[in-house]
Amino acid sequence: MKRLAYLLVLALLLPLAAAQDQLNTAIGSNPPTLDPQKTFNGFSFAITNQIYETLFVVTPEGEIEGLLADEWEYLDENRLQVRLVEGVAFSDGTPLNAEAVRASLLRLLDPATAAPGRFVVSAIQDVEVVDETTVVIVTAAPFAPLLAHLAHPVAAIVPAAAGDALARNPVGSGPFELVEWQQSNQILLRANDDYWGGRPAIDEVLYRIVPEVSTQIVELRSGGLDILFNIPPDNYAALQNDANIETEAYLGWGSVLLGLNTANPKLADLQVRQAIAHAIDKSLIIDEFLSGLAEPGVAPIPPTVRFAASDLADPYPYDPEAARALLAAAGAEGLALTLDVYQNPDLEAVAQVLQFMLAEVGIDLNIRVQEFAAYSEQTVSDDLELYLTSWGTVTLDADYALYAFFHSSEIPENNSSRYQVAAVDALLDEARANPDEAVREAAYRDVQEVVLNDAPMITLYYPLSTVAKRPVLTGEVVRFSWINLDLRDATLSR
Amino acid sequence: MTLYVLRRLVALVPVLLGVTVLVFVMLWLAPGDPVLALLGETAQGLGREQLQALREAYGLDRNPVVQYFDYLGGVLQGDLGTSVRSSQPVLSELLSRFPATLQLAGAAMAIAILVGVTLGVLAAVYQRTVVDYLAVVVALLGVSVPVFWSGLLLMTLFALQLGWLPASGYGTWRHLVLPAAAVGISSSAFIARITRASMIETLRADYVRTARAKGVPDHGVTLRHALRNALLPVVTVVGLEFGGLLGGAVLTETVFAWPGVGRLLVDAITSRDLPLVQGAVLFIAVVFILVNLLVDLSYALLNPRVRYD
Repeated sequence: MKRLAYLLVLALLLPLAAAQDQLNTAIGSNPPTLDPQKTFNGFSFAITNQIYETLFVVTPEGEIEGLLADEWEYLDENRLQVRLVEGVAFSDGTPLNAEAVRASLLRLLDPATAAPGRFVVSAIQDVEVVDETTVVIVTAAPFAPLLAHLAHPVAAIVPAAAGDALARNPVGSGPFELVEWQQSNQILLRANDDYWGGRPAIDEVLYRIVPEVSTQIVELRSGGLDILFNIPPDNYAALQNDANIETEAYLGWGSVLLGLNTANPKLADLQVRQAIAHAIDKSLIIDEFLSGLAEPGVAPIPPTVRFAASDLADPYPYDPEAARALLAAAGAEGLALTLDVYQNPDLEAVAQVLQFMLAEVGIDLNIRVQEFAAYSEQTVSDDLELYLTSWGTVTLDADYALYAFFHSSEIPENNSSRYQVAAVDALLDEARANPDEAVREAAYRDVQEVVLNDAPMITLYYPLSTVAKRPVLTGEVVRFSWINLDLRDATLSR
Repeated sequence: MTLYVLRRLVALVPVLLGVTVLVFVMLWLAPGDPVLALLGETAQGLGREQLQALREAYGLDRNPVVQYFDYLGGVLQGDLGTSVRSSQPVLSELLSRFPATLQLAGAAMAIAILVGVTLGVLAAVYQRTVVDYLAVVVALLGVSVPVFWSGLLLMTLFALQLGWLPASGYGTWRHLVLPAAAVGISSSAFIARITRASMIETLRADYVRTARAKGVPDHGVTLRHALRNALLPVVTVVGLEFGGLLGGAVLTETVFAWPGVGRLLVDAITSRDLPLVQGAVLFIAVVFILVNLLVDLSYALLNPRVRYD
């Protein structure tokens, strides 16, 4: 009898014990909003990606597959028909049907929404509802990377009718839903019991907002946190030696590039740009200043991005002798240049290494560090010389980076190197318009080959993203970035 | 007394007007496009038209003077505007962070007064002895050690090594202990030095000698006769420190992930969220001025000779 009573008490306690199944992690800043359409902020996306879902998603292998989209086909080059997964609803019970998809995409496109990420879907002209679960997405001109763009976190499907309330009370169809958001303190999510893909095993996810990395590390080591992302190289090395912590470094979607303003008289001569490229020892930067947490770059986009020409050899490997000879041939001895960089510890360190390396070949480099807004203003100004930039090809499609960097229509905002080559424009236009993968592959390969030789930008490295976790968490998938932490099949065992 | 308080409150108006003008001008003079500052690195990928559209949507394309008077009009009606970054009312953003700031400031001041006054009194009573020197050294350390270092030290000891307290965060009294201790210890140093100086002076006063001559026991003289009179300058320092802490202890809040006003303001400044910066500075100025008013009024309570007629 007594034993039965114990069992009863135990049974009563069980649900409570299960609720303890909470994953604790941290982000560095309070997200400005949890409406994925109203922001372009990684801290926001890290949370909204748990709550909302996109039509498509890029798998860890780099393939595009449907998420909310079940089947899809092009009716003609401008009309993409998408059949949605049936029976999906937002966490408030509203059906996520063709009408909802239309309303969500049109809200993102509406200038009144003032969506910073509108450009991601600006190729879309209209969304037509065919039946309850079928939509046709219409573009004004053929846009081959459309599926990849619809996989961008900003294109998540939201219940548009909820309007501004979504900023603080997100309502999505994803595996988790918001319980409580204590501003600047923490965001608590719980498993969506009715998730169409099956309820996640983890009951709750607590995102603590911890701005200081040292504090995050103490929390991880003392058991207050289970998983951490983007750990600086020094701390990462220390965590690697901690027996209770598992660490991993993986290649994401980022590249760090040195831009050269080809319209500036000092840099207009190809030989000068070649000399600068020859003067840079990429592996030294990586080994000595980034603790090995990067891979040397050649193509402007890392191998994780579709159509990256990763097998291309560096036309200008480290060779200070060649660099000096080229400068002499160009009559550019005693060259003085200014490098613009924005406040970012990694980039500032790289800028100093570059200063040292360029000095070795006789170029006097002046570094100008400014906050991002002032830096951006400098990059569109005509007297820009060199600039350092860190770029994330978030759609994992070459178009997102190559078109922005090298198409003449993007001068000067994204194409700050003022690179203007008609043949490259034509290739980029073709690759953007032609849905044939083989054609795109060939066109992007040509683009990358040409720009490598022309050196309007020099890819320094592809940074590795870091993650450290306590082994209690298993089965989680990180797709290219910490903002894409997929916990649907993850489990916790404390 | 009422008239005095009213006069002080009226004097608030020009000060606050000045604050709004200064903040506005400073943010407008800062280099860089406000839209880019708002979006930060994430502005990558945006073209000229898109930036212009956003500038218009956020109202940043209008004449700054028009923007300022628009803002002022709102403030006069109790509307501090809407944060550009979060689209939430500025006042509700501030009020949601203020309880955390108030708790931290209150707890830290309690620790600071307890430690500071005790150290100060001990140093004064045992002037030029080991106790005095020790108290001075402790006070000096408190002032000189930056809180991001002492904070991490406390965290490593009490959270990581001993496991007694959570390393960071907000919610229970256990979360409050370490940040309050970190701020309290550094504030206590000032209080200790002022208490010591003031006590030394009062201990030499005639009435203290008279009290001793009457046969009042030593601790009675120290605590009742001397300390009460020595407290006036201490109260001033406490008020200033408290007012400062209510404006947010940025470093402590950052190190201990404490969701206070200070971090909100710093985030707003880095993202050039103009309405939020304006509102936060205004809010902090009001709080600071009110605390100082309370300090001035408390003089009358401590010293009957002080009157505000």
